[in-house]
Amino acid sequence: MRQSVQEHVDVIFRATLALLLLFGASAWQLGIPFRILCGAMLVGPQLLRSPACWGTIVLAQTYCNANAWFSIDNHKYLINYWSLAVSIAAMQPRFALRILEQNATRLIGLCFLFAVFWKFYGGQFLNGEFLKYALLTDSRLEVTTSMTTGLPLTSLNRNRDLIEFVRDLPIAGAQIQVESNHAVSTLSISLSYWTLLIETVCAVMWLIPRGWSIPVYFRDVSLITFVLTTYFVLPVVGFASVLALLGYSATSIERRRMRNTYLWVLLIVQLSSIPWPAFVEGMTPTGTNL
Amino acid sequence: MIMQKSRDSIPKQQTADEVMHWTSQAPPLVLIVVAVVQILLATQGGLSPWKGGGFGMFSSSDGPDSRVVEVTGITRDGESVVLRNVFALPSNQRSRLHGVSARRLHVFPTVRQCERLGNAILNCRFVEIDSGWEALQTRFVKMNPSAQPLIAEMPKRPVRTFIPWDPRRLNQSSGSTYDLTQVSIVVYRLVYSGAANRISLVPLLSPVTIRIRT
Repeated sequence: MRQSVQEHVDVIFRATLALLLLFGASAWQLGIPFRILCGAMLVGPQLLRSPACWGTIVLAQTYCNANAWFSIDNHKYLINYWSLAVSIAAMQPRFALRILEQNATRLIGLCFLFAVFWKFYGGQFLNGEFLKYALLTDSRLEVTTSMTTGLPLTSLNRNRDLIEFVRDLPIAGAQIQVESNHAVSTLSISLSYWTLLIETVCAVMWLIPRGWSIPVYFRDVSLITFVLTTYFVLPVVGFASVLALLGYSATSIERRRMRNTYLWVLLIVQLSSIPWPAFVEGMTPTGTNL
Repeated sequence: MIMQKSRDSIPKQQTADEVMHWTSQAPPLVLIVVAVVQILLATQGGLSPWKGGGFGMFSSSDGPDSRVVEVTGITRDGESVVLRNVFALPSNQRSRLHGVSARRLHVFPTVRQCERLGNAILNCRFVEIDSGWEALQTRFVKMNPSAQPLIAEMPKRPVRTFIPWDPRRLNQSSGSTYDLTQVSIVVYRLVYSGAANRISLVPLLSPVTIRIRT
């Protein structure tokens, strides 16, 4: 049976509340009130659509995020902007669906636009330097790096030990030589250009005005591809979840299959929290201890 | 009269719709404003591109974890010492920090933040701890032979390490305490060179020195 507009809007409202409960709070001062208010809104249909409740969420979130602006991750900002969009939609039920679709589309396009700006501005993506540094020093990537490049875990541990030492004993001008191999360089360049490509495609696809004759299917494919290929390597589940929810909200009510696909993506990305590297660590090459 | 009343209500409804139309544009506009401010702070003011709402995370190696803060002090005897746990000040001194935190200093270091931290430190007393300096140096050189010249330039005897004195802690209730006449704070950044496969420690902020007013 075709979903009514109000039902579709309610699904978006509920999914947003679930997102807020899981990833929206930046401190306990926000987390505990969220559990109470969002929980009540999830079970009460009148509270679910209450502009006062949504306004309270936005104000509390904005206040807490503003106090911790320098430490919170970017997806907290994005969730805050989305909460604002939902509260505006709750204030204007007649236009709620249009408000949600338009804001979701623009928020996705803009966050990719700025992400692409930073990747080009820094220059470390064009020469693969950032990802090479991450592959050689980030503990979350050590098993992936070791399995794909053959660099032993002991070498990666040594790289991190050296960095820790320099942190404990900072000496101006100090330099440390990290261990690497040719495969790491190749992998980092490949991943860098893939990232630049997919993020640029997402930014363009989601910012193109609707009047242009480009199938919306392409923008959905680009976003889903980005989410599934990025966040299982560098797990930031909060970001993956908010992007999937925005993608769902930006999809028109007639495109039921694509909406369901986004819901599946929203569920699947939760699996990226599983510590996969711990399960496959035994398959990595071992090196000699120093 | 009824027709007059209907005509009057149409402009009000149009105005309300226009207000809602512009209000509904607020979220992307706020995103743009915040991101532009973040770009300015990161490119001109030392903010880490990873933070601040500009979506620069994972774009460069200049994340909060790549920043290192070194705090040193000079005792009344004129000896240079390393200070650790400088944010673990006694509760009666924490108000002097005025919101400066370790996290803030790593993500967005400014001269003002360093001065506030320095002034708070100068009002505290310190106790010495065993840093195991010599063992650390030996291990570092073994792992990284290129560091030998740097280590050789350091003072021969181990550098003393102090932490804030908190008389409520049992292991600090006895022993000598020291106060400082000068505090220096340096913020470094780990910079990676892919071509040389080397990580260098580069000052991000000029050293900030705070002295006791005589």
